[in-house]
Amino acid sequence: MKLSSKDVDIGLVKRAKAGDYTAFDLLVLKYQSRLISTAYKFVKDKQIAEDMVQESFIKSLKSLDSFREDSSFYTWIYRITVNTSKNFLISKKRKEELLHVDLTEANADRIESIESDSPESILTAKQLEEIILKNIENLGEETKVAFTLRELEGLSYEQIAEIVRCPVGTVRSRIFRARELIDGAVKDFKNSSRYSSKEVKSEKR
Amino acid sequence: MKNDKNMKEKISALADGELSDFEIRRVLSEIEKNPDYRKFWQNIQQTREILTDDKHEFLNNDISQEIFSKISGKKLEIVEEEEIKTPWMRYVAASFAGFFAVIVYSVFPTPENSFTDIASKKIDQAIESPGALEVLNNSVSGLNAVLQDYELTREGTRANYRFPNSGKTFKVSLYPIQEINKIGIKEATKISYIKSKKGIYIVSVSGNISSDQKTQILQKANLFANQLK
Repeated sequence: MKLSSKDVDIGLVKRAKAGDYTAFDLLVLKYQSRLISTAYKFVKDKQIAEDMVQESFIKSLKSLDSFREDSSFYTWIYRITVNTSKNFLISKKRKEELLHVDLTEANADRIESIESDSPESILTAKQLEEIILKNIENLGEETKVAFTLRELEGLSYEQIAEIVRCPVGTVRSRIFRARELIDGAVKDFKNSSRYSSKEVKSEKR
Repeated sequence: MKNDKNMKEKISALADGELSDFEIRRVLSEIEKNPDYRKFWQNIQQTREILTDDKHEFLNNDISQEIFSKISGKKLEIVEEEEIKTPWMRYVAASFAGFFAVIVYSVFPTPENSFTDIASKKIDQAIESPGALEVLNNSVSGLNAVLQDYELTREGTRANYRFPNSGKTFKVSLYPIQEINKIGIKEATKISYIKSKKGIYIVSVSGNISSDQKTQILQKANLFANQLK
């Protein structure tokens, strides 16, 4: 059985309910880009989409007490984002746009990608993807297996431990090792791309 | 170093829903103190998104700061180090501050003993009060830095801190908006405007700490601004 998003988030949701803002912040970092993408499909404007998601997270924090812990936080915040975006369109008397966007949770993934960002950030995202994939490819076999089973198959540490026949603690270490290497590569990339963009700017001056 | 790895391993487990409630509490408290841990969490999520979603056009969009500002009810404006260092940007920053100060002054009547005078007095009192130092001390909480020395004057409050392990030092200052010129050029590596019941202030952080740590200090100063009584 795969670990659901519900299981993964529940600890953070509980802490956020108890007033721990860091727990809520981690949920924001986790879901923000996915939700901006969702809101964008409605409002067709990057800035407005960001505003919709900000508003949705604020609404969710305010009504967190009403959130039932047996459901998924992502599904909940997704619904809030969709409703906030729809309400925005209605309030702007742009109902006609809604007719073209019949977006439900079920078919959300079928919507084609929209080239909404600047060419630079699309390129950066692409480069980032290449770096991450290359680093996964270069992982040692055991580390790669543990990491892939977790990230692509969504298996729990215990399930992975059964498959690869090693202690749960070893699985945890291997997955961490993979993430640590990827994190280092991503950091290097971000630092170097920031450096080169500064260089370009100073050359232009 | 080993502790850092242990903590990151726990953050990795947290991302997989494999930590107990007790451990989560501890890990969150560490993430709150260390921006690098927060970044590590963010990178885990970005990697996950890249692996599980074939379209990630908004991967680089980060609205968490805006959400924080709106939730805390306080505006946070950050001027980055690189920006403030160039002369023309300094000019723009100074102009902006001047413009801002003009707005602040222009909304009040000008006669003596007017509301402006009373407000100025209150700001002076607030900035001179131990509350100002408390704001600065709270703003560095979690960094394990030690207060070296401080200065409380009507123009502003400045405090120097030191990391006992590395010996690195940094300075945090709090000035009323009209005293922006008191911030030295070298000093103004990262600043933020904060608004409290007593008025508008500038918090400045400079010295031998990372940009993320500076941001963290500014955020916390913003949170504790209402201690200026």
